[in-house]
Amino acid sequence: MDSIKVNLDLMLVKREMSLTELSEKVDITISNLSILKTGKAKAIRFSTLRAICKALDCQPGDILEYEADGEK
Amino acid sequence: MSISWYVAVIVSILMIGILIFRSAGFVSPDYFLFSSLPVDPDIVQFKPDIDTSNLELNTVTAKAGMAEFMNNNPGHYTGIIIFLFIFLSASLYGFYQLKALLKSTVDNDVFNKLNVRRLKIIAFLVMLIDPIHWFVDLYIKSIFSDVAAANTISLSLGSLELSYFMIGLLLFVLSTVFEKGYEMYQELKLTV
Repeated sequence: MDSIKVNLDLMLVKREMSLTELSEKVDITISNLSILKTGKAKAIRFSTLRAICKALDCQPGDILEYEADGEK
Repeated sequence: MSISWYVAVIVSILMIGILIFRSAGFVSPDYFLFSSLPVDPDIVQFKPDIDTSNLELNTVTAKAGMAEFMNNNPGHYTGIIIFLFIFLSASLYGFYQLKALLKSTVDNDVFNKLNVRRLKIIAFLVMLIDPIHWFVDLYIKSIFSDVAAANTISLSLGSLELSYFMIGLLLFVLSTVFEKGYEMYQELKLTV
């Protein structure tokens, strides 16, 4: 099944930032960021996306990626 | 959530509980321990000292107590006691589900899969009440078929008779609402 892949861990490595640091910057709990990072999230608010993009200095496309059927 | 919401939930659950409680015979033991049935007017005799020339008997109702069954039909008596035991067990099981449902509301975890299942169980048990009443009615009347008026052994399907069935259906609808609520709650929980 096609899906939306979350590349948050990749961006965190690129920015040399820990999940805890990001959590403090965007004011979102670590457990919620973990849900997002592990791809368990069902939806993401614009406000969350905006805060993450601001903290990581990136575009939404850097965090979210569409994965078609069979792609890995 | 507001206190009025909790009060409404408690009152609703209590109302359902009372309905099950009543049907189990706790409020009026006579409901189960005695059975009224129409009998053939021909078997009834007036006292000899009463002038009955202007009286005509059309309907006569007899009341059969548990002692009647115990003395004359021990087999039926055992059957009725076993049936009563099963019915009370089912009612208690329904109460247990209600208690668990109420506890989940107090714990602020209403929309979960267990509550959907609990509501479906309660709905099923409530829907069983009417068919059981009909069955027991028919069973007891069949025991006294030799004295009962032949044309009075019938099932009544009036609107009142279907009330428990309607309540059961409503509970089933409520369970599907809960199912949807559970899905929405899960989605909300996994929205970051």
